[in-house]
Amino acid sequence: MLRLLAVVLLVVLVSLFASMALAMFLPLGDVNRMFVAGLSVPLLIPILLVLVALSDRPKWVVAGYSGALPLLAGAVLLRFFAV
Amino acid sequence: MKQAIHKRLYHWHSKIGVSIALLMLALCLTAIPAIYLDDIANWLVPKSADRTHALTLDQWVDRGAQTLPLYEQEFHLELNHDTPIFWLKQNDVHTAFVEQDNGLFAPHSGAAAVRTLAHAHYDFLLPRPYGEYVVGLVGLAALTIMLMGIFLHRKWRSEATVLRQRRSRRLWLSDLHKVLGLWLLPFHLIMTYTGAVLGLGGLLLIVAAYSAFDGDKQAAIEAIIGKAPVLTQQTCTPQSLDTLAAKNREHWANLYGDSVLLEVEVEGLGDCQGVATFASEIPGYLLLENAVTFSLTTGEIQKVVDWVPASFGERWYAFIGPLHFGNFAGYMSKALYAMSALLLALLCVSGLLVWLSKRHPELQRKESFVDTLHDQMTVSWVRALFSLISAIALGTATVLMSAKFLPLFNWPFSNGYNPAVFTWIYALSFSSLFLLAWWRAAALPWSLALNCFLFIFTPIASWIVYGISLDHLALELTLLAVGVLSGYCITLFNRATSSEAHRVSAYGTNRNLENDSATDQAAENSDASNAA
Repeated sequence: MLRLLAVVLLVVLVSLFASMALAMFLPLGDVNRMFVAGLSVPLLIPILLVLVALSDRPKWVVAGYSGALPLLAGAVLLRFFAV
Repeated sequence: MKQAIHKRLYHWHSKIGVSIALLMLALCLTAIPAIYLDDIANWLVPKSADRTHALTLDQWVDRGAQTLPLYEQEFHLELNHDTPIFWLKQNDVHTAFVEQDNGLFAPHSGAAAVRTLAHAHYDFLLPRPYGEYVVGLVGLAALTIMLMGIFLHRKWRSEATVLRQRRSRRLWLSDLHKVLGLWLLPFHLIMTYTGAVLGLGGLLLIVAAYSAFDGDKQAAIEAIIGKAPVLTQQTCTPQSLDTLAAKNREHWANLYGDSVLLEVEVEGLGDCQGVATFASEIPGYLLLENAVTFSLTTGEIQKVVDWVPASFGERWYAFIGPLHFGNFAGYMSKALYAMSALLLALLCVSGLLVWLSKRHPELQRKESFVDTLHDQMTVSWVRALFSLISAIALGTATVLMSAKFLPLFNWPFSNGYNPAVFTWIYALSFSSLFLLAWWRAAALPWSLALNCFLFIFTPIASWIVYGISLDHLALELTLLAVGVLSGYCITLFNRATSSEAHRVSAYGTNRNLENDSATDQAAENSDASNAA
């Protein structure tokens, strides 16, 4: 159960950053970007969770987290402070 | 798919499913009155000769202002009921006011009761916004396990039509779970996603604001609905609301040909910076209501919210509410949604029972459901399941009955009804019955008897006191049907009791359930080998 909770927490973090990055880097207006970011989170979380559950190579999953989290967070923060 | 992945998917599917099963069941059952809120409101707030839509908006506001502080407070007027309802915002709390027989406006029991039934579904009557977050998280978890279910049941063509009734009960429940899950998958995916968005709206707004407005939530809200007016406290003569309504109608007629005015929201009536917002539905578009905000002093348009030509993200948002509430095609869509909610409840129950039957041999016996009811009720989860269903029905019945008949006695408040009264009525009747029936299975037949009485008494007493109205006959007959169903459940319990008494007299009390289970398992294996 603890493992599942840890997976959920990591997936939520990746989804949040991914949805924000997606909205920030797409050529959208402010209002449109806001909706795309907010509404894609509840879609991304279940999809990523299922993908993690379907993966049969734990190393890939760990590599995915360790690559995606800093990359996405960095991209979001760069954009956030650059604007 | 590799066996290890299948096993992990199944493990996560069952773990998450069991964690949310009871909450999801509660959501499905509370959804049914929530679908029919408008009809319940019309039933609870009876139409009288002088409370019709014959009055104009200005006349309504004049009548309301004689009792309510409309000139100082923000208010909105709901026009989509038989009787217009004033919602007044005082200290950040919205209260519904309806004109009483004496001509004064007071918080009416019907409007308050409807709000309680709505909140039972929106936030489980928990403090806002935390209750909404709980509901949103349940929706998100349900969406996840449904997606996992797609990958678990890849042989869906064969599984979607198989319902093996003559095998073990577990197999039958498992088949039922798969059939319901597969046939209703599109509907359930839509409901869970839209429910998750609506429930987690407050949290999602933070993500939205950080991605577009540097984290400024207020700016994000203003981008959608416009800036709130800054009132000057200087008095100006307001424009006629009827004139502004005509301008609103003309605005949408030029664009789309037709519109239906649903709600008027007024802030700062009599103030020089006051505004009035007219929310209108555009027929033919499955989107949120469009809105036009007018200055109350000059009558000029200040803000237009038009979802029809909006961008992709805005339309995505505007699509979610109408899709979740299901009132876009009148009674047809409402009936479809109510039926699907019931089937989703059955999906939760069957999933939970499949999980339980692995752990409890008393749930695997092959005799009929009624004959084994007493054994099943020894399992805490099963008691919780039945108690929850009965307690939600009782909470709904007590709220409906008290809202319908308390006004006759002018009690407990002489000048109206505090909405919190119905929240307490619901919460107390629900929690007391749920805990009692969960603790003692013997309390369940009594709770069913109480439900049976309340659901049959309420419509019959309503016919005697208020007379029979064809407008509300469908709702009243539905209540009667629920009462009759509760009565039928009592007869099942009685049959189970006599069957148990017969069994005890035949076998004694020390019947070994594991032996039964082993016999069932052997029969199941024999079936499987025959089939092979």
